[in-house]
Amino acid sequence: MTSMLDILGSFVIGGMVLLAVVTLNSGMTGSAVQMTMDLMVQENMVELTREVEYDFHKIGYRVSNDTVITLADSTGITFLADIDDDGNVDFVRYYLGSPNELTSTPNTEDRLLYRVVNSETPKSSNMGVVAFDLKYYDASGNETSVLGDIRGINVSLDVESPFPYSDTTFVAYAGLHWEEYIVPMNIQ
Amino acid sequence: MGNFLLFLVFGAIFVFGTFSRSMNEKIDDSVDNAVEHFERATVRNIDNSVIALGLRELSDNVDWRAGFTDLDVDGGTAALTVRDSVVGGDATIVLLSTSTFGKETTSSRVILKVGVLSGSVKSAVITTLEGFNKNGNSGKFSGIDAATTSDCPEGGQPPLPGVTSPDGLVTKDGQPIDGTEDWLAGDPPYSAGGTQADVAAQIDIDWKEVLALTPDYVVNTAQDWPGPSAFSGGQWPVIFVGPGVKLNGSGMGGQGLLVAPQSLEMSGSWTWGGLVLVGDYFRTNGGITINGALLSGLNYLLGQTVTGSNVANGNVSIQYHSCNILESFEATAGKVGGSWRKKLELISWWE
Repeated sequence: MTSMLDILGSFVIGGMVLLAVVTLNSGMTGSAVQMTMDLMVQENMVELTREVEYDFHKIGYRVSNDTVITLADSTGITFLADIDDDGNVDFVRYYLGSPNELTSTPNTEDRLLYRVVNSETPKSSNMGVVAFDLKYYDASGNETSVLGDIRGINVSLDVESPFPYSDTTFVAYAGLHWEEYIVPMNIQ
Repeated sequence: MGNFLLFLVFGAIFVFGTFSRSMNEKIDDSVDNAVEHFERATVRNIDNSVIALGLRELSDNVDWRAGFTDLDVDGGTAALTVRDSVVGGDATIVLLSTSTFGKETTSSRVILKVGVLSGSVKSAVITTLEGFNKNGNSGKFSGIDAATTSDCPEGGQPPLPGVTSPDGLVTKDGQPIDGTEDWLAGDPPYSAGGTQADVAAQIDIDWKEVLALTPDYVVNTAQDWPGPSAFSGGQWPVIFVGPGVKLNGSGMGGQGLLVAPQSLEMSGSWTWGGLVLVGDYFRTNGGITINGALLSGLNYLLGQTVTGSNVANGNVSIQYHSCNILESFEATAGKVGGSWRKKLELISWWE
């Protein structure tokens, strides 16, 4: 009778431990996926912001004519700058693509952020950009749409993971928001 | 059973350990990303700060070239070198900065020119915002450029009007003129420019900036007039003339930018090369010659009422000379007041 109780107790305790291990493993897997997604988003954001900061700080560099920014809207900008410091003024364009270009990823909002220099083929890679928002400010700090009055640019960028953490209970993507007010010194 | 439990416990420890290691690596990477972003932002701020410090030093003294070495800024270090250079044929000042914070290093290159008074003379050889009476037939006011390209590359400019004033305010011996007088030359010889505001709109000189210049000489009495050495060796000084001073010609003459914040009275026989800018009215007697241009009544641009009357007596010759005018503007290099952006002209900023 005592042996039977021992065996039964062992099974109960063993079952509980096994359940705990399985639950822990499941939780760890979920956390690992989320952490991986977060990290991927972070790394994408670091790369993107490095490029945006580099380019936007060059706006107007070595440009002698008054028209430096030739197009400026909420999701794109075209400007002149000697972006590679080779003595020749380059034509640089940033614009946001359509979500329809990235139908292969579950995230319905991710899209490509294009960077075009001169007449090169537009370059981009799927960095999970879901929003690229630009606002322009004049010397007094007021928002402006007059190209010649632009002295500062507020750039905000939202990046999400192309794949969700989980697609069973609810769909959630790792996301990161970055915002910076850039004052290109060559157009002051 | 005991062995089975032991196996489970060790298995759990192994799984958890492996997972923990993987998570810690990811956390490390995540922290690295955040740190990199922070360091990048901070090193940019440090670099901007050291450049700003350099610009401030240069604003105070355009000859400052000392720079900074191992400057501690915001927990990082920065260095700045300042040197003279020639860019596109122009003398420039180059600031090179290198800043470090953590693992991030950045550098900037700023190229500047020493700022000069901005503007031009396009309205006339004599532009006045007040009345102007010419007495006698001698002398001439000519808007035809006496400078040629042999004087300076910009010489030989299209002719300006001889005199531009608000409508009907120029007289000869107290009588209205019709613009055909022999003592006037230019295109046209006389330009009735409309209202005071209309004429003011033709003036491309910031009078407020002129008054903020640091003069080389201040003439509060006729005896303060600088000696010949002030003008030798191609020097074009900025001279401010105080109120009530009568420049009587004794030992006078020269070249540069002559500024009278109030009125200006000149007599005797002497020659001035360059621009003459007068806040209120001017009066001349005797054989005064100005090779440049003259603008008066400029205090109107400050919102003041100017109702004085300019008077030219005697053999006064005021001759448009585009090269001398350019030299007058160049004379203000390193003497412009206000922010560094006025004192120093930014050519390019690589950051």
